[in-house]
Amino acid sequence: MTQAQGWERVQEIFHQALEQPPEARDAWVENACAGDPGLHAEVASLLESDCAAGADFVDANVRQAVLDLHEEQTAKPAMEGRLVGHWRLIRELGQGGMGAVYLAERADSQYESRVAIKLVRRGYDTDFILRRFRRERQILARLEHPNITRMLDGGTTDDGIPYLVMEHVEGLWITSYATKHKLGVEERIRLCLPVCAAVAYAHRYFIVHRDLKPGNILVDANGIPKLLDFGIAKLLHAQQPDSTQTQGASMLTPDYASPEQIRGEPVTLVSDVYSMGAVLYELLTGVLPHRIESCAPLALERAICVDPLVPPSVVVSGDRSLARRLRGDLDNIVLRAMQKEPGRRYMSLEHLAEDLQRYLESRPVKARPDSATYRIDRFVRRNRVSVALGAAAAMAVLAGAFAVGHEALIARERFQDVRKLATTFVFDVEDAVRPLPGSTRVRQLITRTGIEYLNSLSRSSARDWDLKRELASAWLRIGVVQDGQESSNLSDPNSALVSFENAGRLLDEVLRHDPSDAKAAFARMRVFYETSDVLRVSGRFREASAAAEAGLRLAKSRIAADPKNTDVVQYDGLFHLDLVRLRQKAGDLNGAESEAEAANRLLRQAAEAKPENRESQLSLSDLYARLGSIKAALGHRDEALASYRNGVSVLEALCRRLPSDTQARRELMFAYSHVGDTIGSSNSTNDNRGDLPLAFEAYGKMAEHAKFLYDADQADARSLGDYGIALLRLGRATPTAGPRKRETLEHSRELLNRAAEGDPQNRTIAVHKIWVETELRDYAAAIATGEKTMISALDDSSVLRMMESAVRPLAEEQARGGQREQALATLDHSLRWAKKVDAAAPQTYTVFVNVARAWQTAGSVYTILANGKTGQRADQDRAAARAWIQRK
Amino acid sequence: MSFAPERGRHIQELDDALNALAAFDERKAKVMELRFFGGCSVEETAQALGISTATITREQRLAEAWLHREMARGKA
Repeated sequence: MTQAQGWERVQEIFHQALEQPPEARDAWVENACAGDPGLHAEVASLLESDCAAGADFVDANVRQAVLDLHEEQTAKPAMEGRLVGHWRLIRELGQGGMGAVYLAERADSQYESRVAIKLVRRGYDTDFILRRFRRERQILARLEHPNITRMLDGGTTDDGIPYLVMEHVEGLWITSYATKHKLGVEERIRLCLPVCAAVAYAHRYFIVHRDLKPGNILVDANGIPKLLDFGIAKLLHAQQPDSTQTQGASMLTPDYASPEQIRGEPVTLVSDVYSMGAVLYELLTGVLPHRIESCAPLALERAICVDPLVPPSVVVSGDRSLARRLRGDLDNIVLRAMQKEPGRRYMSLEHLAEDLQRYLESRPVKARPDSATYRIDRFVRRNRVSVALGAAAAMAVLAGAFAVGHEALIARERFQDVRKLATTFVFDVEDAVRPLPGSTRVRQLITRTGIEYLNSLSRSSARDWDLKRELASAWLRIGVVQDGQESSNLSDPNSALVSFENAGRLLDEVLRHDPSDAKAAFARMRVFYETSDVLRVSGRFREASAAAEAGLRLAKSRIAADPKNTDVVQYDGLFHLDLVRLRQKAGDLNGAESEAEAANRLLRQAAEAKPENRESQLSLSDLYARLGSIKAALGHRDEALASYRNGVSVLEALCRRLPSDTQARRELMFAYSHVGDTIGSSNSTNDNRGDLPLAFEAYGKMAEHAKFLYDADQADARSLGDYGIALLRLGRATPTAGPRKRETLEHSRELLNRAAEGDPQNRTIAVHKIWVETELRDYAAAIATGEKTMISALDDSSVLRMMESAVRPLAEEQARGGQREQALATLDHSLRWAKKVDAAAPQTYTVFVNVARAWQTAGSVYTILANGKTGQRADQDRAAARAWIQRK
Repeated sequence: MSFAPERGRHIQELDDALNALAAFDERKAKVMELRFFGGCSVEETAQALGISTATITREQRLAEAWLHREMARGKA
């Protein structure tokens, strides 16, 4: 029977049999397999093997295989005495990955000379090895450097085995030499400098040594180090592609190999920088840089690619004076050379050598403690939980990055894990910390860390469109954090724009690949929207318009493809709404109006299609508010009122459904305020409808919602001010003067006083404080508040206007009472500031009107003064009045 | 019969046997790969394959018996 047949049944009986006591097992199996001799034989033989195998039989086999390989490499075939070309082999000097090196002498003894001969081992003369051998020969032929062993000759033995004849260096490994001569720290460093120079020299020929280790750096009797064994060296610009790189990787010495070599990734010049750093590490500490505890490939990779390197000074902490020498600069130099990421190492061996030289000369070295480490260290202290997650993600990323042989399948699975983790990191963790006060900087770090992971993933899978989309969302997310509108204390609009650009670029790539990718298109719209938003807030209106218009074009093309997609319809509407704001800013009321009409149609469609969707309802109400203000500015009062009322009904419905939604309720409060203002405030100009009872009703609603918000969160400064403002409007609209009106206004004043204390810079609060003081006829207080506010509000004539409304009644009253000096003193408050505003503020119609009000007041006050008496003073006042009135 | 510390190379035989196992029970082969070539613990293996540690242990036991028998047959 074949294995597949009855395999399930075999397994079942096998496992059940193991649960039986050993003495009863055979009988039990016989019984279970009764009538099926094939099944019985199968299970019985497996049980037999189970006994024979022993607990660790596979593990032991793998371990044995590694040992075998080692032994094979170190086994010494009898080569001594053999002739190779003109040379006789004397004894073996050492083993390389593919052959052995022998000490040899001239067979013809023409002259006394000893050389080293490198011979490919019999049985290893595969094409692969032979090709390498030839390459080493080519490479060596090019190199001539006092610290690199010279190649003298090369050839093939009679039985076809290639060999190289090299200068023989009689010397010790660099590490043994240092130990034997008890070299100090500085002498050890000096010993490394010529080695660095030799490797740098090879680098100039685009030759990477790839196997720098103490065994390949011999120091001769004169103390001169020599670099040998370019056996696995690689020509970076070799003619033929190097398809055998993995094989090369398995030959190198893991203790000094760079992470990229271990992972089988492309090897570059800085791979040698790493290995040189590892040699330096061992020279300085006497300890190997990594603790490699197991032969298993993954364990090896973990040790080199994942585990953080212990700084040299920490390794030697037993020797306190040595630890002191190493701490600081030398730690930094070694760690910099041995950065796991190639891009963070010294750019070249020259740079490493220069820094060593600087150290020797006690000049400041370039290597600094890893700033990322420093930053992360800082971060850890503040946010332990998130960091634990981050470390897990980093582990997983690195684990996922190395894919060789058997591990490819794990790597693939890990890749998915990492991706999930990184995404979780950006989104879920970020969501979790967002509500925390002052969390913005942490959020930036979190998002950035996540993005780094995602970036490293995207490099390894350039055509993974899902990943690009995820990465784009991550950039979008970090951009929103940087924009900082959610918590205004950390706004960094320029960084936000860069992040949005990154997101946009990735999405554009995805969309170029697949224009019908709805998710990417949707995300792209969001990016345009956020970009436009940041630009508008930063005052870059032209660019903001361009972004909104680009978004609009994308939305229109998506709608053409999929007219029923209300999400896209909504975005379409939002872009129009964005343009409404921008046209308003630009003073283009007619342009704003037509954009608003377009937005109205689209946002209503979206809101009707998604009555449950809070955002779409809020967007629609926002549009109604803007449309109302545009209509009002264009003088279309009825249309303005209708629009505001539409806003009220949308928001009323939303607040009924979501009673604790503070944002919706605040919008509703504003909507009622607009309705009330439009119907008629009591200091009306002629063009409003002046229907006080209706206004009173609207303000009553406004105050009701303001109170709701204030009661919900009395610590919230904004709701305090809002409630005060609402009561002010309500009090002013209260039809009959009386205790009720006064009470409302007093309450308003109390709230606004507290709000102003809490936030003295808030101009809206200040203006309303002046207003309520004026309403309560506490003109002196109003003027005092006004002057205090004016100091920083010369560009804002509305403050002047508000103060003017207190100055005028007070000065006129004083004038009527015959208090000439007091009246003129009061008047002076507004005249003084009016002159300043006239000089400072932009020359707009509003400013002109508000300044003119002050002249008007002066005219009026002088008129009253002139009328109240006769004589020369009266004539003077009359003339002054005429002058002021004519001035406007 | 013991394969473990005796001189000689069984890695090739083990590899062949694993391939034969994978041909009809891929999961067991995967378990063995992760455990012994990947250096993963039982827990890590369970996580990587999305199955319980108890299952890993059972799968491994049977796989070992099977591989052992397969290699012994190859020898014979």
